[in-house]
Amino acid sequence: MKLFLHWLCWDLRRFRILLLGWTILVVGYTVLIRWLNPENVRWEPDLARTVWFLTTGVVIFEVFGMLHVLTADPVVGTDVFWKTRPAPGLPVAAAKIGIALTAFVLLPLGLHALAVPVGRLGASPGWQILEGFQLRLLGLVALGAAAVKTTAGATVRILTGLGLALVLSLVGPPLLGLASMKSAAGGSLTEYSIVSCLWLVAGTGLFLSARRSHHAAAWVRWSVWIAPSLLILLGTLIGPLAQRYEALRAIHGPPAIRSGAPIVPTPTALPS
Amino acid sequence: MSIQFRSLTKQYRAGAEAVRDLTLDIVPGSVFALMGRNGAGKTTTIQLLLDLLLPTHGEARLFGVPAAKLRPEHRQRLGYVSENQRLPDWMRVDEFLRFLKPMYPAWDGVLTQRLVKLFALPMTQRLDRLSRGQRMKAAFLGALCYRPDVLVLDEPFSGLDSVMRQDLLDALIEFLGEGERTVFLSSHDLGEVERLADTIGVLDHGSLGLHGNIDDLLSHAREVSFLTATPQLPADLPADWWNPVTSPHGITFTAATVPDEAALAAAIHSRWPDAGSLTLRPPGLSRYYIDYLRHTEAHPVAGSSTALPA
Repeated sequence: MKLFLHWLCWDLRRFRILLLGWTILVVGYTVLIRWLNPENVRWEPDLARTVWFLTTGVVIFEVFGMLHVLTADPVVGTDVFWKTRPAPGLPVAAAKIGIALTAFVLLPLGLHALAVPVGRLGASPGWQILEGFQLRLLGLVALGAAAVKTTAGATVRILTGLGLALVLSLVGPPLLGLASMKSAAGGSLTEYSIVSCLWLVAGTGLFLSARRSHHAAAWVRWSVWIAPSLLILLGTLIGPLAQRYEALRAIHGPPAIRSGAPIVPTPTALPS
Repeated sequence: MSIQFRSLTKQYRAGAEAVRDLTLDIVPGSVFALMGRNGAGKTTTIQLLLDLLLPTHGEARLFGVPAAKLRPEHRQRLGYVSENQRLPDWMRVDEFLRFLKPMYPAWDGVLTQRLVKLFALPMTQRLDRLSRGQRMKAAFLGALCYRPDVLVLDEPFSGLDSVMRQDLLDALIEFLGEGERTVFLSSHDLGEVERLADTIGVLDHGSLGLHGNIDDLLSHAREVSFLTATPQLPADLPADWWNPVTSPHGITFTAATVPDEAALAAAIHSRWPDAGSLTLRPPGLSRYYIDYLRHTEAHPVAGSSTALPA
């Protein structure tokens, strides 16, 4: 326990900027979504585009943020610092999983849970999709847990973890939908799950390739943050910019937004 | 024994054996230098010893415990510095020391202060902003402050300037003078090996080709040179006459095992009856080592040790 707390304290210090940035982002995002409740504002294409970009950026940031925490001390490799020190894998892994779970799963889930009753956003497939997404993140935490303790066969375990994440993402939403006796939203929910999970797997692969190669140039390792940052920036600017530049009006959001259907923005609005 | 290797073998996926059937005991309190050419398997051996790699066969033992079963209490007695070691680069030097301290019950604050002063490290500088030499000093600092019983060093002086080397050597010599500390050192630097080590082992394509106490090895060997009008090499040269080199007027080589100088002189005269100005003298480690490597290049012995002096 003492060693776990020691690593936890140092990891919190290590990730302080990331965690602070993420907290500000996710709180701001939740407040924005709460404010954008269809009961409060009238949805227009510019607003839909803004929300789509912001949501996608936040989702990618969330996944990459968690992977960043989980892979910060590599599991395998012959130059791994912690493995040459009196630090068993368990406290090292537990500290990272604790931070990832709290910051990237429980915090957004809690904030959303707070926002739902206040903004009456519940009773929609969006809530279920969100829960499914959190399940996928839990799957990734499971992957991290398997990976951090790994001394051999890392590839096998990482693939197993990704498979676990995939299964959780596929079976989670329908199960939750059935359990809560809500509408399962037809086949679109499964489609959402499959598409977003494929994106998740691809994104994870990209992230791990870039981040785990510590011999890569610094810009390669940091390049993974460009996509979410760009999307968040675009989401922030697209509304005001679209007012001024006609070309930007051609940028469309996902089909649900284009069709003009009632919108409940959720983090699963990944590009498809 | 502090360190033991038993039939240790590491075969990579490509099929090449990086370490082959290594069996070796390191006596507690000794400074053992593992030497060999690039790619001989030195770093792999160290990584197997520290459980950073899994062996294909056999085992390495530290403090009598197989490497795979090393527990934190064993690692608290173990120091490790490598030229390729990754450090927590986001920390400052003072943070690095504060981070390490709770993991080591034997952490010595006074020694830490002394080493910080000796190394003249900028304590508020982040580790990733230190020069290569300063990073090595920080790594040494993080490995010496708890007075480990066993110190494992993988090319610690590689690429450092003379002043940096001297600082690190001073710290090491002070460390060695404190009691029965075992050092397992991998190095290309013959000068440092000669200065620090009392025992050497030479890896040749993953196999231990030569090992023993340096003084014993050198005292049994002779650097031979003589003049002759017929400087040709006969086919029946003894296997322990390493790296014979001919010049227009003479021949030089290293005789690895010379129990009796008179017998050696007789053997030379039997092959070169006109041999004159015969000189026999104990070689330096550098000459001995290089001649051994050249000998193994010319006469590769697969999977077995070269005949050694007792």
